[in-house]
Amino acid sequence: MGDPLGEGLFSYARRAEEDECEQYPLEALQWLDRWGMQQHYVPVSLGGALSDFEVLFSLVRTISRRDLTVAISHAVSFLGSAGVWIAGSQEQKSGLACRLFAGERVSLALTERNHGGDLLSIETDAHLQKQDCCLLTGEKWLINGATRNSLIAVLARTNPKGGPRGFSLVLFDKLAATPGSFECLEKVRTLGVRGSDISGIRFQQAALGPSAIVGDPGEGFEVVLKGLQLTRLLCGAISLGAAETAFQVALDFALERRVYGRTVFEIPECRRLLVEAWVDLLLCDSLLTASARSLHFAPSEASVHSSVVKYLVPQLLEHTLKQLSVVLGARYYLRDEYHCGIFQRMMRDSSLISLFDGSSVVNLYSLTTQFKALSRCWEKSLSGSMSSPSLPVCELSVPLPEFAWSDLSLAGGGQNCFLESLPCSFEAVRSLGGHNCPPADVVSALQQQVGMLGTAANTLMKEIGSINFASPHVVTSQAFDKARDYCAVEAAAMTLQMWLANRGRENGYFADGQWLVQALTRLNACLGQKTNLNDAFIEILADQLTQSCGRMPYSPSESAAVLAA
Amino acid sequence: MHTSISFRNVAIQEEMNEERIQTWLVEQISRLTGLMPYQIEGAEPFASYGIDSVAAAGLSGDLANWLGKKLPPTITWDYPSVKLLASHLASKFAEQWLVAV
Repeated sequence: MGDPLGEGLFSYARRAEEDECEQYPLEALQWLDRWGMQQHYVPVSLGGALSDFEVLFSLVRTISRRDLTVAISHAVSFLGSAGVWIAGSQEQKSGLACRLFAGERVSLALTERNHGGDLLSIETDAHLQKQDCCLLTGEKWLINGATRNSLIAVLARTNPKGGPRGFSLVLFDKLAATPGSFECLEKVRTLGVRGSDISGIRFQQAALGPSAIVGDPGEGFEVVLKGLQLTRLLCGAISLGAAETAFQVALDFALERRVYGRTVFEIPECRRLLVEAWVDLLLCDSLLTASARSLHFAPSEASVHSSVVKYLVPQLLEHTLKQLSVVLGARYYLRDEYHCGIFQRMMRDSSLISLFDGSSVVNLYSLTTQFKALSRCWEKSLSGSMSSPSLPVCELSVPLPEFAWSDLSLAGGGQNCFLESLPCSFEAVRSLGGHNCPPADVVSALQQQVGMLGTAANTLMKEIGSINFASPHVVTSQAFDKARDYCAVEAAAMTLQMWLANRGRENGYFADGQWLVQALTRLNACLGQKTNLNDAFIEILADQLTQSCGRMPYSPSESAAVLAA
Repeated sequence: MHTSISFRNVAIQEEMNEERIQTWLVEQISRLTGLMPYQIEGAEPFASYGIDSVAAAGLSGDLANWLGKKLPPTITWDYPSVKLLASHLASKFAEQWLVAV
């Protein structure tokens, strides 16, 4: 993609220019097609390159560092195709793979003008005819790529009575459709991602053949929910890519800009803001790496991890960007200055991520419905009746097992490998010592944070076992608060495990662990347990930050490095 | 641990019948919705008591735990009322078809 500060297709300058004109980034998308990005949306078993979700996420994150419009307009094909990989017939899978390889894109059409996240109210109807043929009628709105993309996976009603078995996923092929049977709707003007094709499509008795229904009739809602478990993690990668660029811009500015005879970075308050932002990135990187790997080790747990990541990562990083804007001062508000206004554009565009693919509320609610089971499994793990969890999922040197598409599940029965590892992680932190061990002040600060976390986790897991709920309308705000707390506890468990499992093979700041103390301090504060980070740690982190230039610990995949070059 | 679980399953298998499953389901719906058990009709879909699709999948997990058997999370979608679900499960028990957790 070349130098972001140069003048090429993926430079900040070119991206800003197209955004200002609200121009669809066709040239950039086609460049990615020639590079072979779409291969990464297709499983290896179908001739594609998708075998490791860490790689897919790191590629999309790399594109997101340049432009969110390009990232979501290209990666929409993964969103549109996931349902077919999960439930499609062999013929549908290979057919779709060929179309994607040829450079076509596929959208996912769920929402309608009158029904946002309430998917079981949608009206678009796929009336079943003889031999599984159907007639598609209705309108989908706010669909990414509805006008530009030739293929659209549509969630439609196949039983007039509705209900969770009343909907099917159908693959609509514009190129094969009877002319006049569909009409694309105008592009909707949006706050961010201005060049994207967020539009809609209207179907008028569009006839679909027997091969259009993905999976069994009535299976659509289930297939869509399983697909969202994957794309919700992808959303985290998009958010993180955007935040990384914003962070880099703010850091460069702080190191170069001189005020009152010194650099901005030398002002203690600015240094603290940058250090905190850097730790937020490290924290989110840990969550994404751990959750991507868990798809391979424990696919049935994805319903929990995807909700935690989709809620926490965009929400946390929106706050981070706000904090970084303080460092940039007036410059954050400018559209042309300072790398063509990339900071304000990333800030503006990334606020979209917490809205789509299931809003924050949807993800928190989905966690509340699993509270009982999660609490039950936690109790079991404490009583030791579960096998002791060593966590290869977090050990980067352990190769990933093949991803089992058929093992995705709407509810994982309450198991959570990260939470169940907490007692072991606590023990590991308590017994830190000997050589290859962080400095003594870090160890004692870690032990303090871990002690607080343990108390909070125990209380929380007991409480959530006794919360009742039935639908988003009756879930109390107390239950939502507990779901937020649950996200923080799981995030702490993931981050702690990632550190314990990999500190031996990483040197420097990662192993030293001041960042981990700060990350846990941040999460404990989310749990209502405030402590101040010791000033000496902030200074050490500031040195580590400048020395490492903000490098992330979990090295990006080779393909992501090639793509970025 | 294994002995006690399999012992419990045998015990459940012997006693399990449609009526017991119905009673348990009614108790759960009452717990989830705050309705009194007598207000809950066996033939009414779960959804009409405000139990949405996601909550119904959660209920499947609790049911599986109570029975000590593996059940798909979508079982409450495929048998969406107390009557339908209890009679389906009872027949599966009679055929000894369910797999222990």
